[in-house]
Amino acid sequence: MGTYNYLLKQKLSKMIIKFEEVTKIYSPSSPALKNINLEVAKGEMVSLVGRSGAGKTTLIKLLIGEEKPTEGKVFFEDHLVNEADSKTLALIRQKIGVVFQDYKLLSKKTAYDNVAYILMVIGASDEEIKRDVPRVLNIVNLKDKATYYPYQLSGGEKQRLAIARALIHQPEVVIADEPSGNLDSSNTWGIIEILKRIHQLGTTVIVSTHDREVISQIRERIITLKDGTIFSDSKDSNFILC
Amino acid sequence: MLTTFRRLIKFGWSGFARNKEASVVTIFVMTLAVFLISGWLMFNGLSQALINEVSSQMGISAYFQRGTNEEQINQVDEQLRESFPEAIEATQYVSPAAALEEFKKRHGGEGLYQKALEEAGPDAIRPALDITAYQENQYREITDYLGESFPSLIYQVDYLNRQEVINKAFYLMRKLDYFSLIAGLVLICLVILVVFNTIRLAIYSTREEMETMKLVGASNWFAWCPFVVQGAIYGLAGFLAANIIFIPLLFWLTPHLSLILPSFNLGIYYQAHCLFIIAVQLGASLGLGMASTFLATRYYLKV
Repeated sequence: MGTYNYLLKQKLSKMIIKFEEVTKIYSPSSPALKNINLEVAKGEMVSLVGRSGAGKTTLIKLLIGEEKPTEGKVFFEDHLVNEADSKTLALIRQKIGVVFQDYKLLSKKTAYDNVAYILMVIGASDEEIKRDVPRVLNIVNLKDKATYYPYQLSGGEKQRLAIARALIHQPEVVIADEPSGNLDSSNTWGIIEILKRIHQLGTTVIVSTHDREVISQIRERIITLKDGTIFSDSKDSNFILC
Repeated sequence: MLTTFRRLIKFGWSGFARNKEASVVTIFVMTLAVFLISGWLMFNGLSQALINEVSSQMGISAYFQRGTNEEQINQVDEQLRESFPEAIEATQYVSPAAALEEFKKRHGGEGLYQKALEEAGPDAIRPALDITAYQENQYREITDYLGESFPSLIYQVDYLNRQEVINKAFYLMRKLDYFSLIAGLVLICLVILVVFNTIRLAIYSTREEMETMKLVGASNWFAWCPFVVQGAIYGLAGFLAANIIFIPLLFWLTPHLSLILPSFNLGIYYQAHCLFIIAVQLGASLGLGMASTFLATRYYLKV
């Protein structure tokens, strides 16, 4: 137990994500993000809270390099994400498992292949793929639907498949963008449990949500976004959803 | 590395097999492209044969004084070749006996010619040297040279009689060559445009998939390679389909074309050049398929 705590402390002592004076403007009249300064340590669990349009998804897009900030710098580990070349960006993305709000599943691949694809991207062997994919599909209760294509799955199943894909390669950071978006409360609870479990294993987890139930279940660091700015950043779960 | 390569081939094959409708359309266009390119190659062979045929008929004849023997004519021939090493394509000594034989063969049944020959006597036909040059503008120089260098031996060079025909024939040959080149270039441009746009449409539906691949950590080449493989499969399928139609058609056409142009046998020409033709077909189909896919996917890899 002592060793575990020591390792956890070591992990926590290192910043893994840093936003420095970040502004993102799509439309000059209403910037998506304004002057964001934010640090996330390795092993932390963070709830990113705010109403629709507050800037949560933009923040995630900036972190994975899907968008570039208008001003400021976004760091992941030692890499400056907004200036990373395509090769570095691919490496950064391999270290981040994202559960996208719209799932972004590969529509022409089966559930099995969707999960296996990530392992192929990082160069895992066939044996590792055959061993790990069924295991992870089992964790998210999709083992029986391994041969199904995304269009044959329900909203909740797609969400679980997206989670399986985000976790399969044991990334440094797992990001879930509105994980409860299309789910009923029992499915939401199950997904939050999975995220909490992988956080306990030392993975940095960021959950973007506007769902009070999700936030109250996580009970960790809560960053509240309002109109593109950080309204509050605290460990207090009695937050106000702006 | 080998595993990754195998996976990319497998992804490419899956993409090809799953997009059945788009694949059928693309293969059809690719088949048409390979077919057109092959047709152009055969047309080139045909036009070259036609040019050679006309060119070989376009020589001049130097007629010698009666009594000039073969040895003297051979010396003239030798000196002529030494003086125009780059210009002379072929020469042929025609003895009076051979010329008479040829004359009889050609006009044997025509009484008027027979009568004229009898009246002119056995020495009516002079020995000659048939000369073929590579270019029509070299005939004048050759004619002048023969007249100036061998005035006692040369009776007449028939260049002036044939000048107009020779110039027209060479002009037409040059135009045919030029037309073939322009037609080939236009054809290649059209083929590239049509194939590129067809493949672009075929993989348009995969743009989101490609973006997702990038977002989950695939490198550029890992994301586009399967599509390039898919493009190569389109090319290969087009190549095979085109040849299934092209080769039988070629052998069916051969006897029909031989009636029009007896000196050109399409089947033999194909057999003699089949390695080159297959290499061009394969290179064009694979190259077009892969390059078009590569260019079309580049846009979607910006994520």
